[in-house]
Amino acid sequence: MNSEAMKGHLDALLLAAVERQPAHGYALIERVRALSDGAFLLPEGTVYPALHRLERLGLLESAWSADAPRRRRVYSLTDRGRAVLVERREEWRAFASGMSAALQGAR
Amino acid sequence: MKPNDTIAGYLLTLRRRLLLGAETRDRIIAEVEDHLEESARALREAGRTPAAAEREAVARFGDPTRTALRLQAARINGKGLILPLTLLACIPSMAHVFPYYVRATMGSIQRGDASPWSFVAPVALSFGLGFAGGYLLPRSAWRSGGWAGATLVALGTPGAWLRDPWAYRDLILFGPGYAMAVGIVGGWAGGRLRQLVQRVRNRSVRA
Repeated sequence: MNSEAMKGHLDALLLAAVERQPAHGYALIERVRALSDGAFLLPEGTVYPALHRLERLGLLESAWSADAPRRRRVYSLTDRGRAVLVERREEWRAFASGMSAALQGAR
Repeated sequence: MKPNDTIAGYLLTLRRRLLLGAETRDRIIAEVEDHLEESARALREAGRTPAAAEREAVARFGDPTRTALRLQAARINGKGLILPLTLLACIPSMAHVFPYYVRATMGSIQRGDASPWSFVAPVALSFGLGFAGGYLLPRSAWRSGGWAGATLVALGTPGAWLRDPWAYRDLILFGPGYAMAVGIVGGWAGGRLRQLVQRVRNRSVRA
């Protein structure tokens, strides 16, 4: 999927990826790619700004991890982030259901 | 190989473009470095030469200037910046308004009399906004000409001053323009100075 189509969904994808397990940026990109069967290859230069923005909004929190060869910034979901993710999932279900119905009805 | 084709070169460029606090900038650089090293390692394991792996890793990350702009936008709360600047501009305004109204009520001056301090608030606000813009915007934004154009407009006002140097109305009209121009240039110079200090510090660390 191209990066234009990913716009608007990046935050939700990252929140969902972090929800599974706290991780650093590179691992999150790999996780999203694996979870989507290779369909979603996140543009790397846009992932870190999104992570920093989500952290500033209080949806993610981060800390340095020392259990790797290099210091790594590991992101985890906050309670607020978890609540927002639930909302995003509901919105997506409603959107997908509506689109599906509309597209089928147009045939 | 171009400087930005290597991880070290890319990080140096990104550091120069990031106009953020030292702590935040160091954190971002450390994060990006870890990412690029991890990405290059995966590419080497996939059969690339070390040089090709670095080149591909930085290419995947994208243009450093764009990345810096995105990171700055993500880190800086624009609304949070505007509020203190506006409040700052309100202080001289309020300091002027209250005594003025007291004197007007007592009849020592007439309502509507021109006050030499009427321009203080817009001047302070313009200077603050200009300084913030000049300080926060990276060099690429200057190259785009937007701020350069604003500066030219503000500097074009001497024409009005030459026509009537002491025109009070002109002072009110163009004072904020001057203040913004001075603020932009001051903020820009402050930002460059900070980058220069950072560069010298980096060199001494590497040495």
